[in-house]
Amino acid sequence: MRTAGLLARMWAARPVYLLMLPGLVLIVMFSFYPLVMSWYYAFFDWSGIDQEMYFIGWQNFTELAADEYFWAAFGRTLWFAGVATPIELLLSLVLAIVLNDRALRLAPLYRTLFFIPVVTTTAIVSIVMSMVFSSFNGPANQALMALGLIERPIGFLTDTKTVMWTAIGLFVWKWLGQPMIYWLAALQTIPTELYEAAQVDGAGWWWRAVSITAPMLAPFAVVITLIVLVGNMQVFAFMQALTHGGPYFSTEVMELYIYRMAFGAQGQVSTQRLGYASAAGVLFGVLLIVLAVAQILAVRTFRQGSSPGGVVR
Amino acid sequence: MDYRSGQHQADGTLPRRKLLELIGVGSAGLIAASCVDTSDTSEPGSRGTTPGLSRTIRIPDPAVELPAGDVQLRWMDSGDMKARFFEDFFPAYEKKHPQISVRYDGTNWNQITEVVTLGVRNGTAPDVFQLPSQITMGMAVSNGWIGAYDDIIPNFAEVKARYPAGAFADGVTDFGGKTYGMPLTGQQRINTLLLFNADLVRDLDVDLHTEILTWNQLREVAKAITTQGDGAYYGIIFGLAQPGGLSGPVNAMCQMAGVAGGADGIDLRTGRFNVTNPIVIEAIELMLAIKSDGSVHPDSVNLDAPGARARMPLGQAGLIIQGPWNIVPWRDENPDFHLGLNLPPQKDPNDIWPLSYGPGGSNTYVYSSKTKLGPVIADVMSYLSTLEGQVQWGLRVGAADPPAFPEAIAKLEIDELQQKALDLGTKYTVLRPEPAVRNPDVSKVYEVQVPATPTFSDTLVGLFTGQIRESVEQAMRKMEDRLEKSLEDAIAKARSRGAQVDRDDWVFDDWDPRQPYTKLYER
Repeated sequence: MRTAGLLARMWAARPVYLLMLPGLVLIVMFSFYPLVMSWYYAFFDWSGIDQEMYFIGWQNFTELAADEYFWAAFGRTLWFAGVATPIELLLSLVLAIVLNDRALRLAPLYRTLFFIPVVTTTAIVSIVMSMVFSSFNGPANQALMALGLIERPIGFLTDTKTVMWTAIGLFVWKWLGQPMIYWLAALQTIPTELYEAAQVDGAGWWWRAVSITAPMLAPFAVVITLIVLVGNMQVFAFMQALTHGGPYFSTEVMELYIYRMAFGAQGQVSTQRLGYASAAGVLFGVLLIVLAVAQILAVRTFRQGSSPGGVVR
Repeated sequence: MDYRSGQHQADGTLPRRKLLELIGVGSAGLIAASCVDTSDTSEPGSRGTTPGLSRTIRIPDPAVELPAGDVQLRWMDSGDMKARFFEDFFPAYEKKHPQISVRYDGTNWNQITEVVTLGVRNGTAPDVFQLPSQITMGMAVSNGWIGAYDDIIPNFAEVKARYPAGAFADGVTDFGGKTYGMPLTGQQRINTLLLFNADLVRDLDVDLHTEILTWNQLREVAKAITTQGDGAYYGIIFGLAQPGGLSGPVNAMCQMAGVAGGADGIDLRTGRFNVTNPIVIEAIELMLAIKSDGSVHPDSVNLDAPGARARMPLGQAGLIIQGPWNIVPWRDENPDFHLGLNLPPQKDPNDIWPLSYGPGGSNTYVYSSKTKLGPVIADVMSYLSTLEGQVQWGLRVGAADPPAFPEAIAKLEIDELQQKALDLGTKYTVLRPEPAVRNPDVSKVYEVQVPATPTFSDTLVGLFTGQIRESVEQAMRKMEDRLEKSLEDAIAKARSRGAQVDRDDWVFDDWDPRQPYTKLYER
């Protein structure tokens, strides 16, 4: 019987399952359980502290649908990720291609330099950068003024017209090293023989890039894009330390909105609405799931296209 | 004492006569130190206090039976200036009772919120702590998270009687006839003093040390300082990234101009919100005018209160409107910074209304219902509720968190600036009515109330940054609608859950905002 066969195979592979167990337990505890519970709490009027919870059905979702600050935060999150992701991907790819050149002797040093911001604590980067881009004697403004490019300081973090762009720029700089490493790993999977053969056939740099590098990187690009995109939607620590979501909500992305709803702000009464925040988190999560499913479908499409006979494994 | 007397430190010279005096005082101090009780862990004569009162903390014998074995008391609060007292007090207490060790965590409110909200539910909360703003006292009592002091302190009625009227109140600290919160300090403090850099305002036409600024003068002074600074410093600095960064000063200025209940509060004489009051609109327009003059430190929008505060001793702004808790840290950490203070700017300096404060005191401590150290907590709280304990508190904490006992404040001998802050607080603050005291069900409204979004504080920042483009009057009309809706919705929700409450609970037609409203709190 098929069931017996499955159990027999599982029993035969029991050391493998045993090794998987710790990871599985942790995933259940710290990923699946909170995920399921956030769905559950989303249907309650609950502060997150009080023992009394009131079931209110879909009311949190209907309230969210009419909450302009929720949609504004939603839009800002998409906008932030939509702008930051292509810039980050493109710049990191260019860097990876340059650093992948074996003729570049200092490549390891440059790789390290570009990766240092990635491993630097996000809050520290945000705090230091808020000083660098300060309107009052900030080095960035002083440099621009010394070069004669501006006459008066720019409110990089205080002007609502510039603050989001400043945040995107700093975020891309901070995380550029991560996709760069992914691209480098992907580039190193391309056999050098292909380039040598193309060169023998007379293909120049551009044709080698278009005909060999781009198609070989395409399956990796889907995965890297997804990782970067999802990462760019989760910018809580960075934004909280850099702008606190201000001025006047202008950088309040989805995670900051959820945090404000869930834990409130000091000096205000009864601002903790864990049920409502859970509902916001659920909707945000749905968006991320949609993106993840799209990525899975895209990967399958690429694999189908590249596998002999179109067999999907 | 002249508060500019630190000048000799600025130029680095010390007169010969002064040096000899200091050597003499130092020698006498060394001799005296060998005779005093070594439980005095404080720095003699430090932090601007005068030597008239002994700073020695003498722990009395306990009135309760303390544990015989080794135990550890865990105590968590928001630190700041309070830590200056507890860092002296707890070592003295440990010395008196070697079997008791104390783990004191003077931390920030985010940490308290995290530790307490989880700890009260899973039984790991510290023995004594302050409640974060997200947990009302009523919520903590009804969930059984905190214990009543009546149950652990012998003769608690006698202890309570030492506190002034309004320190304890039903629906605030007391529930079901028992007391759950101990307010160790009072509220007669002005959190929105005009603090100024004395060096930067020295050449102005107005003496800020002696003269209370009018609203118009505030604008002129800020402009003059900015012009004088020529980009090196600005007239005034705010911390707008923090809730209350601008609304706090506006609130105080409006209250002192006669807007009873504050700019975004309720006038308890009528039960209506104040935000559309013409005085409120005028105060906001004044702040916007100061901003459009270019007199506000350009980073104000992105700074929280500590960030703004840190820039004052650096000479980046001439004025800031904040509380007296800045005085000692600024002086300790920046001896060359010359600070002055006065009342916040007044619409009419000849007709100043007092700021009102609610019952329940300040720095209210609760204890975990799960604690096994009730006798230790009782012993500590009993000492802190004596005149001696309150004086020792005042000597270390000063004007930042004035003692709860008026007689302790009267006994304090502290430096001129702190004394001035204390005196202004005593003179210009009065106790107000609290709806939750007359009707305890009102606290159920507070527990379910969803704040109006954007809040008054947010709205002022929106106007300040130009994100809200409509007139101040229009913005305040919408603000009033939001505040009304927030309160009405909360009342409706509380009523649906059994609370007996209505809008009239916010009306006290016999309230005179110029007088303390004590009849509600008489025992």
